[in-house]
Amino acid sequence: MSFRSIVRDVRDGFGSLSRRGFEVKLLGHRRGKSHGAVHELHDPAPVIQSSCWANLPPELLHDVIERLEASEATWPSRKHVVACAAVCRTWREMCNEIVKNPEFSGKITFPVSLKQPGPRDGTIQCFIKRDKSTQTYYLYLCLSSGEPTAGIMFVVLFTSCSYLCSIRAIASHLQFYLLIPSFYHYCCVTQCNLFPTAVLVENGKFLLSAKKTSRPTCTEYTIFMNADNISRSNKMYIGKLRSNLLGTKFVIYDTQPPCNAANVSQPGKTSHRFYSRKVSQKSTSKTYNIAQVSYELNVLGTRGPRRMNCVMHSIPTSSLEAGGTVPCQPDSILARSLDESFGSISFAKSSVVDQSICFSSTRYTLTSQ
Amino acid sequence: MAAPESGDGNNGAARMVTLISSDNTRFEVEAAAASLSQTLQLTILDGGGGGGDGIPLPNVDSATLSKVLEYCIKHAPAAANGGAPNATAVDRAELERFDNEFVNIDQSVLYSLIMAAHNLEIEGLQSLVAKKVADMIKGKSPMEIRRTLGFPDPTPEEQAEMNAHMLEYGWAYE
Repeated sequence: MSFRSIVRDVRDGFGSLSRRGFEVKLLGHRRGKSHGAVHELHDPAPVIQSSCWANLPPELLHDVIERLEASEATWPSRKHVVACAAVCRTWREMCNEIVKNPEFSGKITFPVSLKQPGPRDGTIQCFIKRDKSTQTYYLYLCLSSGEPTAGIMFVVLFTSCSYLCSIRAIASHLQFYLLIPSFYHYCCVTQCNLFPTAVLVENGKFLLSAKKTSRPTCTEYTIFMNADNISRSNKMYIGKLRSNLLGTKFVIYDTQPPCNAANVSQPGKTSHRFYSRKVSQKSTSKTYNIAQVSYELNVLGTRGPRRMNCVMHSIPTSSLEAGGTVPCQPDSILARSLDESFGSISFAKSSVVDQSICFSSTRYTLTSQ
Repeated sequence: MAAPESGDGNNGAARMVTLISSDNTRFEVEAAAASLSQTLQLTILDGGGGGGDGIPLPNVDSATLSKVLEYCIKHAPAAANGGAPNATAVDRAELERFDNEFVNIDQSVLYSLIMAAHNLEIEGLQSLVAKKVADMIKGKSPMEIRRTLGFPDPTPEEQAEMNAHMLEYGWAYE
């Protein structure tokens, strides 16, 4: 089932619902019980049998979703877990409880996984596809194991503990860099071959796309979490990466504030966070500088191994230590809860120490396209 | 499960217990089968359910109870063997076939079953139904899952929340 049909499905449901919603107002109670405007909290004994699943006791729901989650460990069937999370709030909370962060599970499940720390041991492999005609880059999670054929696909090895939040694509001349500032030990920049769009992407789960825009003083890559129909006004716009002319210094901007306070549990948060159209529009224009990456040139200029220095504003030093945890992980990848976030940014910043990490890339294959 | 038989001195024929459903139907069943329920096992060990007075089960109707007992009777021999270490492959295959057919039923019956299994603490039955439900919702969109499980229509608020999440979760389908 395609995403479009899913969305259509949901919208259709909405259409029929608004009509019904109207009737409900007139009748006072949808089920036509005789109480007029009085809403009962619970229907009396003869409950419509078929609606019971909505009230399944948590321990049973846990049992069901845990089974589903365990059986759908890999993409693309992993999306079935995501579908469960969209069923209703209770299911979503249950899914969030059951699905472990990539740091512990090594798996990417919800979009927010891209902003959560990666596994401390082990790697997550990705590859990149470029569409030359539209200057668009696509990042895919590699689904097939084993080394890909050189020249067709180059798998970027995410070093252990990569912070997927900071996956940003940097293209410099014909070489493509994938930035994975890993916050535990070092940052990793891996160069990889660009390969033509014709290459099959069946082996990959789409993660992010980036569209390159050349400006007089810089190059900008706007980053989206959808693959097509990308534009800055798109709600899927999640950030951008801006490089200087030489391609030696990059600044990463996020549409969410650093150390997003959205995860600070606030009662009633979900009840109003989705309705503010104004907020979501505002968020598309507002970005926050979350990290900076700079390269030292070597004798080869922009080619060859270069030392990279990465400063991440949102990751405290304590996260790098053994047993350290990453604070303030967002619960959503889209910046839609800005209204609640603004109040807490100031306190969050004070606890954050700039983290400078140096890294010499060791794995390079120079490519000529 | 041998304890009730020897302990109660009911030699020869297997000890029987009576269960009474919420609609006052009486079911007579072997204690070994009923003991698959952790809840009933305690009562039975205490000597309850025998003779004239049955064990009332106010949360389980007769249709569901007969289904539950069908499962229990089928699974009792294997359970009595302590997880069936000496069961043959044929026996296991037969049980598996039975299980598959057993849960091939309407979702409303499945719901009654999982609730009964939960109330009566019949672990095997509960996981069997949970697995079936997991299989049922696999590969379905959120709206299809709602329809499959007969959720009531979402309220406008729920719908807006679903839409908002689908915006983000649509990523999973890219």
